[in-house]
Amino acid sequence: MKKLSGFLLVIILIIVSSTTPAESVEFVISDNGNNSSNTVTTSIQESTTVSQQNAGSIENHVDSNANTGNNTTSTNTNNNTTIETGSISEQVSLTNEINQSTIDISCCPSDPASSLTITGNGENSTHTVSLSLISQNSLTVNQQATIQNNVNGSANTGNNNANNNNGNVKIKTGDVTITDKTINKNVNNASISFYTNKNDFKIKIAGNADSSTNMIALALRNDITSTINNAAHITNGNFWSLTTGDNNAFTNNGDIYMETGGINAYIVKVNDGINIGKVAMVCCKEKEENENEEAVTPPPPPPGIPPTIPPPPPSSSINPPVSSNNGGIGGSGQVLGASVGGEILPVTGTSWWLFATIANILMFLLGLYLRMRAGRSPCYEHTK
Amino acid sequence: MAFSFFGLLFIYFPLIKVYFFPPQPLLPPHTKFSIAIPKINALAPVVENVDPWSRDTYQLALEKGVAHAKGTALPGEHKTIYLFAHSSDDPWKITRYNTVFLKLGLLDLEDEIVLTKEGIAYTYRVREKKTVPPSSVEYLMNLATDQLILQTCTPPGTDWQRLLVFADPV
Repeated sequence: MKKLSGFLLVIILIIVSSTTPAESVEFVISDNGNNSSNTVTTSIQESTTVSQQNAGSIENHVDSNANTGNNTTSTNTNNNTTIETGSISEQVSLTNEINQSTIDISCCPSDPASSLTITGNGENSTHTVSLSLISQNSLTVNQQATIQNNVNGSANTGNNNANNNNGNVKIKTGDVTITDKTINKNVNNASISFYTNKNDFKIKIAGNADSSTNMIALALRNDITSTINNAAHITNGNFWSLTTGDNNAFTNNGDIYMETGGINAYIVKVNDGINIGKVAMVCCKEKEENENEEAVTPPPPPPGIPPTIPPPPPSSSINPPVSSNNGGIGGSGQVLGASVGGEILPVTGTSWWLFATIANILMFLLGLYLRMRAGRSPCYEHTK
Repeated sequence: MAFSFFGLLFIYFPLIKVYFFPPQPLLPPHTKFSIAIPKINALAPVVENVDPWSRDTYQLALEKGVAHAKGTALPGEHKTIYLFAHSSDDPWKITRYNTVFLKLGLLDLEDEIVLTKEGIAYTYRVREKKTVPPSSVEYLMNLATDQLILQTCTPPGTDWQRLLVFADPV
């Protein structure tokens, strides 16, 4: 009885991963005579190189100035001199976004399975099929961003002078409120999505004569190099001069009353989503099985590191108000400043309830499972 | 199983207490600034001028009641008043006042909120409710409008989002 296979040697070598270039091949060694020898060696290589370069520069210069002060009234002979200045409210808002890169290497159309067959060969024959599939992929994203924000502002309701007046002098200055918001977000965001093709192989060694030697060697290699270089240089400069004081009242004959307005300064600098890189590799076969799922998208960038909180804006001169017949330098102001960089609203809840609940539910289910698996309690048998 | 049951009981004790055994609304003596929300049976003292950016500072203040954000207005100043309080806290820290905003999400439009300061009552009516991410700090910045903003974390038991209730003076 003829043996269906004599000396059978099959070596399948898989070097790296299970993915291969999208290529379908077929090798057949069959119906060769006794003492024949055949060797098939094939190497298939493919490479993909994608490079994306982004370089951007943004400069914002904002000057914001408002003045209701710098008033002078002097040498009035009428009774009672009054200087009353209006309030100032200024708002500056800057938002920058730059350099977004997306590389999406999609799936190739699926190929039929590669086929490697050695069949029906004679006695003492030697047949070898060697197939090497190499895929090399290089994906590079280089992004460079330079952002410079300069906000220079001033608001003045003070610097008023009332000198040498006959009668009472009243100086009342308005409030100063500034809101300065600088947001740099989504700067140098890169996303690389790479879908790898997966080939099938049909390998058959059958129906060969006694003492034939047959070998199929398969080497698969898939190299993927993804590089994301992000460099962002961000400078946020916010300089404000805010004055409600510096008022003078000299050599007036009457009483002097000074009331200086308050200063509210809110400066917020947010750097959010700076230099974010994401690389995702998904097998095409998995993608086909999940056709209804959306394409992989970059996750929301994590909050950026808060920048250094700048010093509070300069305040008016803080001196107690004076009331006298001889005049003097007076000024008092209440400075309320909040300089915030990248902060969040106050945390007014706990963060562990959900996890503790899940842990307890799991414990409960585990206990229930163990209880049911154990069957009746031993005590039941005893009391029975 | 029993352990996990009692564990759940321990974790949700604050919720159970508020919904099934609500404490009698009471203020500490000599309270000068307080907030009352009749719809959700909330009554608590307000701690003034609490730094909203310093977690250590405001966590201490929140154990005593509702915190008033430093830099925002006080009743009668006709600008934005910003108050915040816990909706949930660790069970061993629960006091009468520090989860006063647990049921804040139950407020509807036109519900009343009363702030009392130095014996004068200021009434507000709810205009809007909003759920925002924690990074929405602009609500603590634009303070020119005469309104009241109440803030707490949502959903209760987490610190994922912030529930803001906006109310206008009556």
